[in-house]
Amino acid sequence: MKNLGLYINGAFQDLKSNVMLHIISIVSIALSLLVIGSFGLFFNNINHVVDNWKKGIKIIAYFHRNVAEQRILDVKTQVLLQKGVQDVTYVTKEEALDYLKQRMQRQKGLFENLNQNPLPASLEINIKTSIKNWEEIEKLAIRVENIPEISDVEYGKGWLDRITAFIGLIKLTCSSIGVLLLVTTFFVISNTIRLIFYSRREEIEIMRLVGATTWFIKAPFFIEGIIHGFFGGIIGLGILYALFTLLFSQFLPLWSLNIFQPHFFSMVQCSYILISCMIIGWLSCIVALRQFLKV
Amino acid sequence: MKIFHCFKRNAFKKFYISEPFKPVNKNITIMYRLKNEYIIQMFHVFKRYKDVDVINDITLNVARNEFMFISGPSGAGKSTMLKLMYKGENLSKGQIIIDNLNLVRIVKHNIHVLRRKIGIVFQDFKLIPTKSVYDNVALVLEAKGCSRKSIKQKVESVLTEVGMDKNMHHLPPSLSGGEQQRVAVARAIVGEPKIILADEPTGSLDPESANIILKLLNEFHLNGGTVILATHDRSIIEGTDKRIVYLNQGRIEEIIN
Repeated sequence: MKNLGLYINGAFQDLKSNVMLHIISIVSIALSLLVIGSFGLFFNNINHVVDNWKKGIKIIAYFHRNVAEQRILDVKTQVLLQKGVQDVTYVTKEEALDYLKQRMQRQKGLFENLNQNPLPASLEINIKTSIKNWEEIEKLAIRVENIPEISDVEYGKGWLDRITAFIGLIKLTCSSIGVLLLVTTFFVISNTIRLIFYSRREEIEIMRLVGATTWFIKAPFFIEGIIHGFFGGIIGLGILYALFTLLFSQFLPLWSLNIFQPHFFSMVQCSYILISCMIIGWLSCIVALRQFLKV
Repeated sequence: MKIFHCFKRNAFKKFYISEPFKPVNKNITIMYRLKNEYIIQMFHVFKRYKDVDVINDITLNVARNEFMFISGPSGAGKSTMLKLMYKGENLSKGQIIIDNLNLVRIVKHNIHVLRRKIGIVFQDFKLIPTKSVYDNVALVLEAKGCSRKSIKQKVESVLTEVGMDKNMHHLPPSLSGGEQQRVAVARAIVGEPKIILADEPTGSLDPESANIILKLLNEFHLNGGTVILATHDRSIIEGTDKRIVYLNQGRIEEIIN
């Protein structure tokens, strides 16, 4: 630890003397981060969209025809007490018909011949935003459906299920590509360090001859790996941010429809990414040096 | 920290052949003296490359504060013998004990314990061409973990001793062979080793530079150090009062005291 300054100094001296090799390593980290980060950013925003959709999800529970008003109010209270329910609105048969008439103003004639209101009374159940799991929504719907007064339950399961499955598939594909890229980056850095080590093998041999410990020889390389990760991470995130800003400024009118607000990574996420890059740089060094400094 | 220190000391115990002890009778006193008298002990040492014994059954003791020459024709095994001493090569058979360290038991990641007892001078200097003279010499002390202040003090003093203080900021390739070898000697002695192993240190030098190097090594010897110098140059060993070990085909042919 007391030689830390010496190791850092040694690492920076080596950075200066092998500029091209270090640039290759840094650029490979930056490019990999750019691709992996794009996937991450895409999923981050897709998750936002899905969350927004989920916020709008309602369960509509239809009553049987002959349920008394008082009983409906009891069921409303019962549903309100269920886990995950934000609020419940009771829609009477008349309100439902009025709403339908409003929506179908052009086909007003259809309603003139109606002897009685065919629409059932219903409860509109808003779900808490904290519930993101489909299974929980499904369980809630089943619990409501099991109430004897309820004849049917409706929630947008079908289409949202399909979208979630589709996103899952894309996630899996992108994660696989991401892992492959990560492994490639790992080997690129590892080989770069190996090349640097090879170019300095005489110097390292001399160090060993004068009594340097293995750690004394390795430490500057570890620091170099961490520096690669740090600069690669900074450059990668910088380019990603620039592209993100450019892309969304170009398509601003589309997003102004308020479908959703695009988000870049938060500061905490950026720090995690940077730390991960530094760890990758460091691990690559360990792998590279294990071969050369086998004891 | 204290626990770690103890652990470290115990860890090294395994390749030290003995702990200092108080002799209880006369016979043991003689044995102890003998053990301590020799800084290098080689017992039936063999080094085999493929099917050839480059070092063939060498048993040799080197006393503390001795200046010894190893001579012989090219390919006699001089360099290999020195390599075995600083564990640049592993021996095939036998035992080598250097200042109570059993070389067979030292694993590679603890080799620095041995190397810090030894200064090595090579025919081709083995200086780092991209580091200045000062940095080359300072490397030994940096590896030991000395403070910057003491490194500066010691390096400057040693470079003055070898007459290279004016060139301390030069890079080795800009120096003559003799100057580079003086830097190599400075690097060998700066860590205050007990032994210097010199492998043909004058091999590529003019007679004047060679004399300076020999003088420096002799000074180290006069200050209490042990020097083993391998050379095939008869002019260096002619008329010397020091022990000369002649090697031929990996065997000791003759020892002249």
